[in-house]
Amino acid sequence: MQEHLDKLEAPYEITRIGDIELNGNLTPEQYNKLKLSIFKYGIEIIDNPSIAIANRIKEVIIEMVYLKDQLPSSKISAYIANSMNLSYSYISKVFSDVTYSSIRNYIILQRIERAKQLIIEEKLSLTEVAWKLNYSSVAHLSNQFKKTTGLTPTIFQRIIERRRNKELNPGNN
Amino acid sequence: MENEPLEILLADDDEDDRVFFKEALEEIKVKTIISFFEDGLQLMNYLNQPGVRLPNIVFLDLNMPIKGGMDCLIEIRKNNRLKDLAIVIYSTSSTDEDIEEAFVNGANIYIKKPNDFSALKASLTQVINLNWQYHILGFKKENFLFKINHV
Amino acid sequence: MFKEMKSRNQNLKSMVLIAVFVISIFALLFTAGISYKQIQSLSDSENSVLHSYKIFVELERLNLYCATAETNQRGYLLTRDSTFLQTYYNSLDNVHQAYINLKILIYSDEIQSRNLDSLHNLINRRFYYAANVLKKDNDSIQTSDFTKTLIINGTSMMRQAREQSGKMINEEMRLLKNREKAHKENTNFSPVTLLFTVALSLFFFILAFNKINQDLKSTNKINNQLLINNEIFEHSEQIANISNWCWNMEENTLSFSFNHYRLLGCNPDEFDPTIENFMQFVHPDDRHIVVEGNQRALDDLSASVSNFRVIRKDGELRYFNSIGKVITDSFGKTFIIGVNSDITERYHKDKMLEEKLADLERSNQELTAFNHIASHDLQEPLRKIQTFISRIRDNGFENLTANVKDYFSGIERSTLKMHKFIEDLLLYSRANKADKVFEMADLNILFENAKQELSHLIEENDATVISSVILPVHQVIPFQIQQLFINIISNSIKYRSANIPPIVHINSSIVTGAEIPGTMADLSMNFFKISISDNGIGFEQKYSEKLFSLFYRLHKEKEYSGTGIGLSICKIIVENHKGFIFAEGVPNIGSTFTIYLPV
Repeated sequence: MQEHLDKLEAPYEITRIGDIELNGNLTPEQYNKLKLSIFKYGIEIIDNPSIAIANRIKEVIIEMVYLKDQLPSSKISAYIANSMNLSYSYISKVFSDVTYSSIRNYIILQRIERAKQLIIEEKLSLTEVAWKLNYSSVAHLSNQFKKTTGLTPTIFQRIIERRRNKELNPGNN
Repeated sequence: MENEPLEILLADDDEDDRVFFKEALEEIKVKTIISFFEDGLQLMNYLNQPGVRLPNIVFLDLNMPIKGGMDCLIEIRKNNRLKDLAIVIYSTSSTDEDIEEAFVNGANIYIKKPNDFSALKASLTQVINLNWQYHILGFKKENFLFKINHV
Repeated sequence: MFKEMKSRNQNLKSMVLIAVFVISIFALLFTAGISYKQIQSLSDSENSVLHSYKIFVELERLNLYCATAETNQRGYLLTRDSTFLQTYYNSLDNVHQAYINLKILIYSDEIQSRNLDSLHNLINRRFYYAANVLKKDNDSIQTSDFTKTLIINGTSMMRQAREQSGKMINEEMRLLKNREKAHKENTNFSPVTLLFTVALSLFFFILAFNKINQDLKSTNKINNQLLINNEIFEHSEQIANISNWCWNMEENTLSFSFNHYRLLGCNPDEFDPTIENFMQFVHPDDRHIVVEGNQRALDDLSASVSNFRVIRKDGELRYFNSIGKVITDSFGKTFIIGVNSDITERYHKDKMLEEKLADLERSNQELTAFNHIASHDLQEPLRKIQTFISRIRDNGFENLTANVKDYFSGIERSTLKMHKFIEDLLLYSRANKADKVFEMADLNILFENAKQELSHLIEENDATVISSVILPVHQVIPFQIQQLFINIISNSIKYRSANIPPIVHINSSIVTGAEIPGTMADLSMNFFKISISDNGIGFEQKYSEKLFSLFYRLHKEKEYSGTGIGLSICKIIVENHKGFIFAEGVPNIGSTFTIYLPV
């Protein structure tokens, strides 16, 4: 990013890791050029500030689910709202407009996705997964898993297992 | 949210179900382009055309004449070009064996056909949301497995 | 092991017997020896008594001959008759002879020998004097003083001799007394030893007799028992249609029990027991089976079972089952013993059962398929009807006239009822399915799953469904137990009292079969007792059994909607698990459903 911005001679400032603030607006030319050049890298420019906010929220949540392992969702919402200096009601509206899903839902979804990941890749037992994701019990995890995906974790495990066996033995069914 | 309309295919031999499906989608505030097929063979013929635009979501009924939903599912997943399509099994049967079989063969979502129109709408909405979430939020396609059963 | 013990026992017994025999022989010989010795000493003591008397006699004789000699000497001196002299000399010879005899007799006794020597000495001196007198006499008759002296000395010698003789007699008397005493003792003692010997012999004889008698008795008893057993055995074989045979491997002889012949349709001992004769009755195609069976028994040394067909003497085809085994008896000989059973009846019965079972399974499968398809295929159009109904509800219901609205509501209700009915029928047929797979399942999880499935119902009715204990983990059919919970809990919520939020409470414990009402339970087994109680409308206890009947309902459709299938599904599920289910109800207070599952 730095390279390209430099090329365009656009003034900028790096405020945080992964954050660059432009000190001033780009001309339409600069804008288009930038857009095209970084598109090659698969980077898209998102104009809409709502989308930006939504993304930001997502990032925070992902960070929490994957890295920090602390997830009581009520506190998260407060935390996110605080960290972005915006009211909770605002960001939740923005989020649901953009993603058609509430923050709470998204958190649950992320958690369940992580659970699926842990079950499949790291082959952890349900007890270990529940522990890692801060569920109060395996039953709690199973319940939420079933509510979200419609399947119990056991059945999910079995399906993935059977899928794998199929790939190894394409003749069998 | 995508500004482009969602391209949806439905293969179902029952006319009433096709009508319900269409009306439900119309009542959901999402732009969709729907194509219908009466059996699996028609569907596969369409999909196998070279250069055809790939749909966003494919809905398959299991019990269809000539070629059933399960066969289509297997065929699609085997096809290099088609294997990443989001596939929803949309069926009346709800035995555990059928459901598990569908997932093992690569279905992403299994919907038991509801007996209530609002439930149908809710189910379709959920499908679209899930598809969107998986696509945009970058969840892994292999883990894209959901069973939907609204009443 | 048993055989070893037996022969060790027998060895011990015969060793004891031999030992006792040897001991008794020794004892008898010993006592006999003592008896013999006793008799010997008896004879000895008698001899020694006689010996004393002989000495007396001989001493007297000596005295007598001395006296005779003296008398004859005097006679000669008086009469000068030569006869006297002759007799005198004869008497001297006799005296000498008597002395010799005494000497021989007294030889062993020292004292008496010395005494005899003295006596002899005295007698010799006496007769020396006597001889001198005679000599003097021949020469001249004067010196009568000298002669007198001689005679006086002679007489005094004789007197001394007599004294000595008397002394000897006394001494001998003394000895005699001792000997007589000893003799008397012996005579007294001898019978005792003899008696003792006899008694001992008698004792051993009686002992031996007793033992032999006892053994004889017990042998008789055993023989008797054997005879009875044999009888019973024979009869048992006839009753049970079995027979036995025994093949002595060493001597290659075969023996058949009586029933062996009868099973083949023959009379006992009708033919020689040989393999060839038996094979005549075995179906030609199955003969190899018999041969192989025997070979297997030999090879494996374990019981070998074979089934083959037999054609009886009367031509009827029978099915035989034969079990043969190699055994070794206590002498190390090998036999093959076997039991043949005529299982024809059982065979036919089994076949018939098998066919019936196949029929049953087939019809069951058809029924299940029918059930399933019917319910499933019925559901399709029903679903469509319901969807169309919901379409109309959302869109156009308002425009209907009041009447039509009612009709429409009626259609809605009926379709809902139909839906529930078909669902329950499907559940019923599922519960009845033949393939019931038991696995270890945590009933707590099944309980939670049931609650989840009913989450809507629970929320709508503001119900509380709780468990006060940890439910057991048990070998069950998981989906059925889950359905059981669902049915009972949903009933508890459905049949709630109008104003009170339903509270459903599950409890579990372990009880013995004795606690289960009715006598159907095995009293020795343990059961999980799971009770689900609610605070709903309850029911009258008299209906507690009918509740579980298929399609039975206690309430009108208007009051409470239901299919009447739910509880009969519960009953079938509980029966699948070999358990029991009971219902207790108190009207307006609540109901409790108690399920017993064997541990």
